[in-house]
Amino acid sequence: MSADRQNDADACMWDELISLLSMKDATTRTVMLGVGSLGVACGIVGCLTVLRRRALMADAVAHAALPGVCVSYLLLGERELGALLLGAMIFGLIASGLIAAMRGRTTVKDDAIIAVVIGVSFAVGIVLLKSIQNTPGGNKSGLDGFIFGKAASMARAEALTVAAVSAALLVLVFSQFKVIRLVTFDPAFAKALGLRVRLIDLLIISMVCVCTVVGLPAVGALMIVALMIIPAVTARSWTDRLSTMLVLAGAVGGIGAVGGTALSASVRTPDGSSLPVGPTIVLTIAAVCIVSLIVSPRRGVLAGWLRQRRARREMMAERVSERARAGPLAVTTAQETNDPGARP
Amino acid sequence: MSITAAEWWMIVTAVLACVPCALLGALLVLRRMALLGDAISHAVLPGIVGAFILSATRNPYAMLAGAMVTGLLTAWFTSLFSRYGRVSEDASLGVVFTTMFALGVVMLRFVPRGVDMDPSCVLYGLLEFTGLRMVEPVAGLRVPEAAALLAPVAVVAVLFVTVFFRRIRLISFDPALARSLGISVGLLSAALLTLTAASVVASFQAVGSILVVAMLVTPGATAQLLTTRLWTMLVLSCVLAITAAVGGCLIAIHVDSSAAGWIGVFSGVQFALAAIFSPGQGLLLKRLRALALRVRIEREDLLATMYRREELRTGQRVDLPDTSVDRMPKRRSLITVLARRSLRRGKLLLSRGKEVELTSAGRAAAAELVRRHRLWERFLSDNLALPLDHLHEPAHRLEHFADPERLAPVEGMDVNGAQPHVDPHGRPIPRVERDQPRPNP
Repeated sequence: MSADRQNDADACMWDELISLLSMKDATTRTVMLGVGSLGVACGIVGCLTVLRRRALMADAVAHAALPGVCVSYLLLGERELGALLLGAMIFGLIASGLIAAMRGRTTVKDDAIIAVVIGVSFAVGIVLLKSIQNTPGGNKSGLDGFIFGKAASMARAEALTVAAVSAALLVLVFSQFKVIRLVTFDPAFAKALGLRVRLIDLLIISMVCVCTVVGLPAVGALMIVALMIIPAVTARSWTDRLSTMLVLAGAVGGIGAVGGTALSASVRTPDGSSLPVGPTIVLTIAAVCIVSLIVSPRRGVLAGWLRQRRARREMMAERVSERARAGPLAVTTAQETNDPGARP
Repeated sequence: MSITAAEWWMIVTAVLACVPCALLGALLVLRRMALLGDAISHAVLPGIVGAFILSATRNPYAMLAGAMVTGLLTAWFTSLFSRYGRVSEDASLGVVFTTMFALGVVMLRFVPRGVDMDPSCVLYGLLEFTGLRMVEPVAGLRVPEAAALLAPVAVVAVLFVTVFFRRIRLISFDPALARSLGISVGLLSAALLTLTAASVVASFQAVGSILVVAMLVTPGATAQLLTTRLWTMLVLSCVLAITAAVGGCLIAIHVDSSAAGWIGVFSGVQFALAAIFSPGQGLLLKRLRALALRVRIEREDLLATMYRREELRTGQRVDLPDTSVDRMPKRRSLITVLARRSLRRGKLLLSRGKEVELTSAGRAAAAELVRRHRLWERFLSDNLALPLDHLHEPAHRLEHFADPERLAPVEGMDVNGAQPHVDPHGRPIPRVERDQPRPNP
């Protein structure tokens, strides 16, 4: 009886997953458009931060966005999405500016500064959130949705905005591709060529901020950094070319975001609610990442293991043949075996 | 403002949670593992929730065990990831802890209904409710459950760090030396990491994941700004954490807000103040020191320029093309204003209408500077064989910081001998009366 019900539930889940992924429904299409383009943009921008070794800077920016949202809500007194996101953007830039200003000035290292910014800005965010909830009407502000995200409630205009912003980011990255590549891999050389490295760095960190901010309502402050780092790491395991890596990371991010959203809507928890979208997206992309780290042809765990085994065998074979040659005729052929050119 | 018994317990619990975190976190900061602490505090979530689902009770020890497992797994996965994925350490940390945290949040949805566990309690903790859940570990002593769990962890952490202090210091600053002395670095690191995970988990329940992140790293980083001695740093870190815990709780009680949040904000303010005002490393003090140096250099340049002008006017010197004479600064920046004012105050410079003139004390000080400059030029020309047109710049820098006469015995320079009466350009090197005390420019 209960097994039947379980089967029914499973069948129901699959049906729902398939119907969501085929996107017959207009609402579904809207949400998928928003989430998918967000995934693509985050994946591509994430590559730049990961390669520049600033992966967790993005995390600090994302955590700082929360107090930014709260401050602009307190200033305006209403939930005006554009203004909230502007506040998040400003706070994100301030956080990255603070980190940059402290870097190398004191004995406190980069990583500790980033961790301090993450923890403290989130604490500020919680304090502000609490004081908003204490005000009349504050409970309905829905600001705590910015922590874990609420993709399912994405409106059409929001989704279109996300898509437009993502498209703009893509155009920016690919039009400035050569400059960005140079700054990413050889900042000293780029400086010598007269490029303004700090300006490009500012551009990259602003793109991180933009991605964080547009992703905030859908995925939430705690998870958005995963959308940037994980696709980049996944793509890095397949290729050594920046252009390929960008395209791959964008694809992984987009597909993972769409798949994760569909999964979150179709899986039911015991109490009948759906899974939270942000974390489900992260788990989907992480699954892709883990698989590709295992099977990728050059850097994968499997490939590494095979390579090691082959090397061991070759070495064994070489040693055996050497021993065979050096065996009974060791005295006469000693000269020959010492000569590296004489090896087969 | 009166404080109820429940609120007292809240403060005590907060202090008990913050001290071990701050102590072990300071060591993490020192060993450049701050983000690992951050990662562990995110990653214990699936362990806690998993233990909760499996044991179906809010048994703190089961949760502790589950969280320890995932916390240590995070550290292990991260090293695995950066080895096989060949990405930098921080990127692999980012992958592992966000994934673990996401897993934890998703697992939260599978917790049976009617149990008090939800995302917000995970994030903000239950500090406000510590007084409600009392246990009696020893007969006659009723303490909150969270405090009963935290107290032994705090004691063990403090004892461990005190007992193994010398070894910990060695592995923090020079792991290679520690290894060569036969200290097992791996074991001690693992023990520290385990203790860190334990205190994160124990505090997590009381104060939430975010405060743990803030309390692990912030007091340690603040202490690092204030001192360079490890012992002082650890004590300071604990003191800062205690004041943050007490202060944050009091503010939160007063304004009726999240205690965990206010503790984090309080320690953030401590960090900001230390970053600005710390006597050794504060950004403000560094700025002021740099400003003072610039004023001194400007003052000395002004004096020397005045001296060179007088030389030209009185015909003591043949008029050779000299770049520095015309460099009387026209623009009145803050630095030049400050420099001129300090010269007038020290009675080295006099204003007569629009003109400025050296006093006799000023002339002596200027002569000293010009003497240094020309001796340096002499030295650079004679000993390093620099060409004539490359002498001025290095000498101009050196004259502010190093007195060639004091360096003379070391460098084998002949400064008072027959040779250097003139610099390589043929200008006279001013003589300074040595029996008088030197005027300090």
